[in-house]
Amino acid sequence: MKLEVKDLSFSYIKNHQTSFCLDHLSFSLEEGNIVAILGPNGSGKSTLLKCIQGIEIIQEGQVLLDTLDFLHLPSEERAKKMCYVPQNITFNESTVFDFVLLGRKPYLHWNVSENDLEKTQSILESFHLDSLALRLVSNLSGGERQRAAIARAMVQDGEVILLDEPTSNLDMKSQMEVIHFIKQITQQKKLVLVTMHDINLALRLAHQFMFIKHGKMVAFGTREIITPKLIEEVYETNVEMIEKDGKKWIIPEEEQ
Amino acid sequence: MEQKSIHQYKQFIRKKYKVILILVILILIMSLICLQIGSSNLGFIKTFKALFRIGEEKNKVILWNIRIPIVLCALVCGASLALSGCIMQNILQNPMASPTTLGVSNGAVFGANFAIIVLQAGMVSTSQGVSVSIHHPYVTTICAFIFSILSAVFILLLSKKQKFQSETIVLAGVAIGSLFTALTTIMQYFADDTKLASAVFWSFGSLENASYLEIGIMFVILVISFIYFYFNRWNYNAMAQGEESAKSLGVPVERIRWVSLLLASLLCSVCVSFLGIIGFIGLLAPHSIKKFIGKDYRYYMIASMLTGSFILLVADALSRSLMNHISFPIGAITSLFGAPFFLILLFHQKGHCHL
Repeated sequence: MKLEVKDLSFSYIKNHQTSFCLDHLSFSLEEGNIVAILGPNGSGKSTLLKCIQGIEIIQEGQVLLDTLDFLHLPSEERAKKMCYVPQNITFNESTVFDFVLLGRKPYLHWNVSENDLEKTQSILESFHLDSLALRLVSNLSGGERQRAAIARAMVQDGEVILLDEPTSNLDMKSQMEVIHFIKQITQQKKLVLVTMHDINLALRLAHQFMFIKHGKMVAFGTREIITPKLIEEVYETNVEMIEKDGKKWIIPEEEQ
Repeated sequence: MEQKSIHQYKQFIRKKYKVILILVILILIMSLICLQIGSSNLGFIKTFKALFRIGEEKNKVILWNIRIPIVLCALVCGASLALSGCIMQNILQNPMASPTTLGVSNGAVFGANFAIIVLQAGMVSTSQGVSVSIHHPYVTTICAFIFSILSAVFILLLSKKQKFQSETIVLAGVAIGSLFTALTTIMQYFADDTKLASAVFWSFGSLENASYLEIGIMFVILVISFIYFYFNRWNYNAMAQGEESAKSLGVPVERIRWVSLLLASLLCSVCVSFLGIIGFIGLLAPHSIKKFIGKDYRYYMIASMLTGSFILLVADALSRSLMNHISFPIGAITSLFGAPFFLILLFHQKGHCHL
């Protein structure tokens, strides 16, 4: 499976002027990879995910899933192929089971089937949420909520999974848990796109890295492309890079 | 061995059916009690006889022409107002949303006052002492309906322009409500005593105003709206997780919001225009049953409707039995007893106030 984004642009009109959120982005990604999308606040990371799934309507460009013109599919068909976990989910008063079960929404006709329930059950088990099944999602901890949200995406059973900042607002232990589960997903030949703020965390997680600034792609490639110069260019702050046991660590330097 | 979550979940769902069954039984009992209450004390046996069209002619007339319409009206109107509130809270993602807070009820009051005061639809007949009546009920109803729909349309247009920011919409609803209330006050200030009396009388709200035809109309609208809402129950569940989640699950969010808000406004404006203001059901019913049934819209909608009917039956029983030969305005009863109950409910919620 291959996801190809061609010449994608998203803009809005403000005071009679067109301002680009995303400016002619093109890239191609393959299954089994975790792709970290990095960039400063407001660079268009989240918008990119929404545009790829079709939640925001793009003005120009194409998203191809293999050879399928993805954005012209009906919304339910899109939901079956691509799952999106937004940053701001409302964790309401539904139970964890109900919350995760809703991932079957694109497949539902009149009611949930036994198959839907069993699928939910097995995903809950693999995400260690089984014992919390009847708890309300509003009462879960941050890490548990994020796990439930990713579990919902897994129940949805798409080939591509888009995660918007899954690790922000989590403590260290929960962050590592979430990272562990995201890695688990790619074992099932899925493609995961994940936006992140923490470069070090991204380095532990992703296979490929995409840097975006002002809606334009600055760099795209494997671990090798990450250099202090690139990070300084993207984030406009001085950094130091340490390599230990073959792992890279980026440390911001204090401004003088 | 610990049970698997799938079995726990199935048990959990079975409990919801039990809650619904209990509500149905409560409603049946309460309906029978309401049939008893009235100035001519019929008693159980006579009521039953009259119900099956045996016994004295007088009792049959009392039961079939006065009491049964009231009970049916309470059932239909309670369900409509509760359903309307339940849906508005979902699509606006705001626990405060209800016919009253969105200005729909206030629009109806203005419309009715306009009909009675300006269009002379109501008169006070002084021949029998102090009884007040409205001579052209349909003019009043139609005016009330037009103005409540006007507020609803305004809210809809605003929500399109503002891309459905729920806070803005609820605030705008409150503003529109105040505007209509102010206009009503000004109109009432300049009205003469007799017109003022019938206008105020209308706004009390009463289940006794409705005929079988009107109950039929309300029922048809309730059924049509319910079918639409029930078809979309999974969409409402998805929308409760936020707009972006719902869209990514393939829910056509905008279309559902528009149609739902329109139907919810229609539901409550029909009730208000036939019966006058019966407040608070749209908030009270969904919020009080939520604790027992959860917010799964497959069951939540049905349970809210049943709770609405039940509350209105209780309110009707209270309004007709608190004092001999006098029935209190039912709108006042729902708020008088509903508000303290609602407050208790709020204080009993653990930790954060998740409405």
